Amino acid sequence: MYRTYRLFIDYEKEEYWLNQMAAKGYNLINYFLGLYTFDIEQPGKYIYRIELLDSLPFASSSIRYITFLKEMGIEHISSHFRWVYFRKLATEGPFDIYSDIDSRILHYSRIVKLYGIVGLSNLVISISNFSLWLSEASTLNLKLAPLNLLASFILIFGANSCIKKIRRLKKERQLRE
Amino acid sequence: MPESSERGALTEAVFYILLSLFKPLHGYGIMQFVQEISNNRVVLGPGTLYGAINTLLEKGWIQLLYSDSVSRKKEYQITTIGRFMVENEINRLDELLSNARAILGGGNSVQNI
Repeated sequence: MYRTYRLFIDYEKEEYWLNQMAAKGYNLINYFLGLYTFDIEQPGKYIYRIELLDSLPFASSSIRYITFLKEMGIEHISSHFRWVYFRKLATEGPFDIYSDIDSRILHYSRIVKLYGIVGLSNLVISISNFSLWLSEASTLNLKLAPLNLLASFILIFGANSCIKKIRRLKKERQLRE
Repeated sequence: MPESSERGALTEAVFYILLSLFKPLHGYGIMQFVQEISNNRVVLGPGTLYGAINTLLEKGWIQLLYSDSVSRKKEYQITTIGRFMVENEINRLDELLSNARAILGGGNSVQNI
């Protein structure tokens, strides 16, 4: 068993890292709040994929989807809010959740919506924390405000990089599907 | 008759999913069929396949069967509308191919140019 902390804003970089770990024999078995837990097994056994679901993993629509994937030999490893971690045996061939431009655009838009909403709410909370400090001289609010501001910057940056990916895909879609 | 917005090209995934469902199949079977028939060129992502199946069910191009009682996996089959859509697509593809072949002269004149 091996545990480590990491923070990713780009899920594709996270996926790349998880697959590099799997190639070395470190197979993810759980993720919670930045803490990754790995089982040490034979190298290169699995391919990992991460997806942002439409609803929380225990919603009936998500359960139907996860069951469908299970029937295709895909294991549901861990969930973190709406983010889910899947893996498939590498011997069963290539594994990508989405194989066409439209469904990839749809997935990126889901991320933009999530990061956009959480990012903007953090910005609003940060501003209200600053103003509370100004009006009531509350030092707790002063300590929290920069944290909210930082979180909102990171999330808006994340949303923006997905928007760029969507734009690139839309251009490509004019030529092929 | 389909709506005018439904007369455009089908996606490759949708066309192959419809073709696979002339016999009842479950999700994994569809993926395998498409991979085999395309010589491993088209590997449907499970997320893409799931989305396509749901849209096709909504539109009534395919239907759900419950015949696989042993494994209790959901099976799907093409409907009459689905078959009609496949035939439409074949006509459209025929037009593309015959126009392309006429211009390229059956492939021989390409070398002559």
